Parts: sequence; structure tokens; C-alpha cells
Amino acid sequence: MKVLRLMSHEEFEVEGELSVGDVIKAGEAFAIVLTHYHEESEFIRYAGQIEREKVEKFMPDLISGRRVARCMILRSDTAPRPGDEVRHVDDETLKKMHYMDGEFSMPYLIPLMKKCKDNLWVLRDYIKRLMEIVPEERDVLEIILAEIEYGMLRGVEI
Amino acid sequence: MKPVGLVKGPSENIEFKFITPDKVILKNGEFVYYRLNDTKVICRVVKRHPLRLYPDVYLSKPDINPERIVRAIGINVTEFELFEVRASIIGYYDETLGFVNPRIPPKPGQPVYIAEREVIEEVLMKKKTGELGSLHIGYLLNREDDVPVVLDTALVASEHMCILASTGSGKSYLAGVLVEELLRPYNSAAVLILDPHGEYHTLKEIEGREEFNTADYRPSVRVYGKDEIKIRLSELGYDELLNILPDLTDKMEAILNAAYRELEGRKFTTEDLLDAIKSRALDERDVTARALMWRIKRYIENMDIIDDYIHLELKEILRPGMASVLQLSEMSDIEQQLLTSVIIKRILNARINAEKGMGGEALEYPVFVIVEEAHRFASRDAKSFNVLKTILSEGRKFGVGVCLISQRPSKIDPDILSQCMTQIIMRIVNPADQENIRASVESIGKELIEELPGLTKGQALVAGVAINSPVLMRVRKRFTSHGGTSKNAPREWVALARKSEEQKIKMKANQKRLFWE
Repeated sequence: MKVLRLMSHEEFEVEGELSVGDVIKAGEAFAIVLTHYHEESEFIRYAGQIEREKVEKFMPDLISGRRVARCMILRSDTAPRPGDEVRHVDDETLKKMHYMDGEFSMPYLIPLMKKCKDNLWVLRDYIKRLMEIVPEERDVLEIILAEIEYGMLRGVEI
Repeated sequence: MKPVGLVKGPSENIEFKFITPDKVILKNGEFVYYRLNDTKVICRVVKRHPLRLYPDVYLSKPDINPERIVRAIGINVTEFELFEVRASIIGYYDETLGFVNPRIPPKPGQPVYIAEREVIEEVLMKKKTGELGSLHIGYLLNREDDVPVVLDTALVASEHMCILASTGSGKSYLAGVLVEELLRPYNSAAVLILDPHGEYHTLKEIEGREEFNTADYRPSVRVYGKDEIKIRLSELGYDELLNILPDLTDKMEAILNAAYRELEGRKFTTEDLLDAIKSRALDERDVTARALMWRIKRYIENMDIIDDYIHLELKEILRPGMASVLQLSEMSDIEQQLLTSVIIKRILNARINAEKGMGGEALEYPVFVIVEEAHRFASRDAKSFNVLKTILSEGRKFGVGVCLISQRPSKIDPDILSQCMTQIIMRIVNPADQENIRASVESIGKELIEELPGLTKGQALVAGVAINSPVLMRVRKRFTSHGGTSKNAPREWVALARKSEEQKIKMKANQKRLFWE
């Protein structure tokens, strides 16, 4: 998996099989997958129906397009560059990422909540994962989770 | 001096708001200032409230400090805590005019400073500690360092004062402090204390303490018990005499009036009064005269404090550098009221005589009278009401100062209370009493009245003429011990129960012996 393009100082896209909520590392940046979509091939967009069928016979990969994941940077000193290798972050690394000067910290939370306001479940699942891998901060995370879940309720007004 | 906040903008009336990150110094009632053309405009902090509140859910687990959550989401806690403070402009101090309101609120963005100790002492207090005519009764409540609260004795003694507080708030303790200050060399006052509970006898300790003595001054304190307190019958006014005798008919009153008018101005005895009534009887069997004489024997002869000859001499109980405590604890209510009425009336007359150079009993120096449980004497139905009302309205001109102390200000007549121009108010919870204070004491604003239920023992609000602006204070420690401490009932019960158990055991041991042993 490689970084496809940089969208802004806090977002980039990755080509590859990633799931929403996955935490990845691209270059020096830690990021979370917020959404993914299918991107058609540029060539096919301009080709006619007959040409498309011909090409599909010889180069089926070119026709099928690619799966793109949009990611938000959680913590980084430098933004990733297109072509940077992308890999999943294991629990131990994720835990380490949350400690600065020995203190638990998730400064990305507020911008992340803003980005996820229409699908807060992504954030909810992510916090649940953190609760498992950082049990010593469970009490604080439970309160944050409660606020997220309340936000989900408010959103639909059941 | 570093500013503690920056002005946000004007508020209602003479108030403005400023923003501060301070969590410690700026308490309600604290003094701050802003500068107007190099003049320090003094203001009082009226209310403060946090600008940024934690979301309710952050407070859902009592064992988790919400600061931890705020830090976890990457917010700087110190920046997070901001307060909006409402301050009321008192004004800048002018030696001749007092406080002058500049009528220009501070500009938005203007710095606000905490008032330094020197500023407070200079501007808020009329006197400095230890100065001639000063009463150092406590320290500012809001300050960690001891900033003394000092009253002007001359204004306290001439324009009267009151100490109002719920029971157990420390009003007698404060009155003790007041007496101590009045007897310090820089005041050397003549003080009379009417003490219905017998709790001021400990002031006698003043005589042995170095703080009160100088090379040429040694104050004294005399405590008078019931047996030493006597009023001569002839000193009673006609109305007071009427008050003692119950259920008099119009005819009885007419005879008594005629007899009294005949004897008035002389030092008459009960026997003289009875003879005067007898001489007005129609015959031996005149029922009205006999009933009146019976009442005089029944009520006047039986009243311990009324005597035909013995009389408390004013100059004996009132001298500069001396406090006299009249213990009224063993007297009935009517005796207490009668004594208060007679003594205060005599003091006023003696002062008038001295000031106007008239004959009769005279006191050549101002005096200060402390009346404990004043609601008993200053309510409209008390027999001493009229005298107290007169002395509070006229005493100022003749140098008779009164300090009323009460736990039920709502029972004191508002006309009397409003004459007390210096007020010390301690913890008061009763809404009726708070309302009465609000109505009678103009100088205390709504916000300061709201502070009253929150005061604890020994804390007080001081306002009125003897101080330049109302302040919250904590009463200073007394030199003498306090005579009015609350009883520790369980401790006494336990001690007595053990004692009676020991006695029972002894009795049983005695009973075991045979009768011939």
C-alpha cells in the first residue's frame, strides 16, 4: 500500500485494501482511515464502449480501477509524501503514540470528532480499541466514549 | 505591580466586568483598582463566575478530575480556566470629600490591579492601628496577610453601633474585642455593659495584662452582681412606675399620679409613696387606694433592684479607663428592662447636665453603653423602648454612645436600628432578619447581604460611618478569655453520668454493711 495523494496538511489518500477505522503509518505520520471509495481508471473514463471491452480482455486490471482510502493524520511532525509505504500500526505502537512526556494525550480528538460528525461510530470503535490497549486510561476514555455515544444519539434524535 | 485582569466592559450602574485567569486572590469582597489619570479608583469584587465550564459528562465520575480529560484531549488547563469578575466602583479617595465616584468606567482592555495593603489601610480605614481613637477589631477576611480593620472610636461612640448575628456566630466575642480596644491606652473609654447572660466577667482579666497598661494608665473592670445593682425608687419616672404595677384602673392611676407629682423631685421612699396615697384616700375603707397600696407593696417592695436608699452612683460605674459590667442574669425581664431604662435615662440626663452646666447629677465625659440582647430592650413593647429611642436619636449631641447587640434584629424597632450608624453584621440565616437589616442599613448593598449566610463563626461584615467602605473581616483574637462559650453537653453528661455511677457503687458498698457497724 502506498500514499496516493496528499489532500491537505491533515488528510491524504492511500491506495490499497484498508478498512474504515484502521490506524496506519505512512512515512512518519500516524493516521486513521475515515472512509474509502472506488476510483475508476482514468483511461476508461475517456474510452468508448467497444474499446473498453477490448482492453478488458487483455488488461483487466486497468478497467477495474482502484480502491482508495481517505485518512486523517493523528500525529506527525511531517506530512507523508505520495509513494510513501503504508503499513498497519500494531497495538503496542498505537499505545506508545498516545504518551507524551509520560502523560496520556490524544490532541487529535477534537478535529477528528469534527471530521467524523456524520459517522461517529468510527470514532466510537476507535475509542473502544484504545480502551483495550490502554486499560490504565480506561476511566478517562469511558467518559470520552459516553460523550461520543451521546453525540450519536443527539444526531438521530430517537 | 502586575495586573490581575483586563477590563471587558461596563456592566449595570456603577459596575464593570473584567476577565482574569486568577483562581486564588480575587474572592468576593476583595478590593481592586484601576487607574484614572494616575488616581487609583477603588472597586470591590462583587461576583465572579467561570467563563468556561466543563461539559457535564466530564463531571460524571467523582474520582476522575475533569482536568485529566481536558489534558488528555490536548487542551491546556491553565488557559482553559478563565473567570469573569464583576466589580463595583467605590471611587477614589479624597481626604475632604471621602470617596468620589469618577463616573467614568474603565476602558475595555484597561488593566485591573489588586489593592495593596497600604492602599486599603490608607483609603478604606479612617484610623490606623494604635492611633488615638482607633478600634482594631479584626483583619480583612479575604487577605492571607493580616490587613487590620480599624474603626474610628469617635464615630462609633457618638453615632452608635450595632452587632447583629445569629446565636453562636461570635457576637459576644466581638463585643469583648470591642471593650478591650475601648480600654486600650489610646481610647481609655468609660464603658458600661448591660450583660443579661453574665458572660462579660472575664473582661476582668484586662486588669492584669500588659497590653493595656502604660506608665500612667491602668484600666479597671468592675463586675456588679444582682445584689450590688440597686435603683432608688425616687429615680423611677411616673411611666416606669406605671409599668411595674399591673392592671391599674383609671381611678388608681389618677391617685398614683397625684401622689407621684407631690413627691417628684425629692428622694422619697416606698413609705412616703404609700403615705401620699393614703392621704388621698376618701376614708379608711377606700377600696381604690387600698388596692393601689397593695399593688405597691406586692410589686415594688418585692422587686430586689428597687431600693429606698441605695443607688448606683453613675460616677462609680462610669469613669474613663473603666468598664463596668452589670450582670442582669438573675433578674426578671421586667427588672432588666426597668434597670436599662433608668440607667440609660440617668446617663443621658447626667451628660445633658454636664454639657449645659445645669445642676444635679453630671458626667463630664462621654460614655459608651453596650446593651447585650438588645431585642429585649429595644422592641416596641419593651419598657425601655422609649428611653433607648431617645438616647439613640439624641445621645450623639451629648456624647452618649450605644452599642446594641442582638441575635434577632427583626425584633428591634427599625427606627432604633437605623440610628446605629456603624453596623457589624455576622452570620445571619433567618430571612426576616436579613430583610430587616436590608431595610435598616442603607450602606450595605444587596450583594453584601447575600454574603451573610455564608459567613462562619468570627467573620463579619462591617459597614457604616466608622469605616470608609463596607468590608468583610475576621475578628481578631481576644487578649482575655471568652465568657460566653457554648456548653459541650455530651461531655458534661458523660462526666456526670460516671460520677453518679461511682456514687451508686459507694452507696451500695455502704448498704452492705450491717446497721450496727
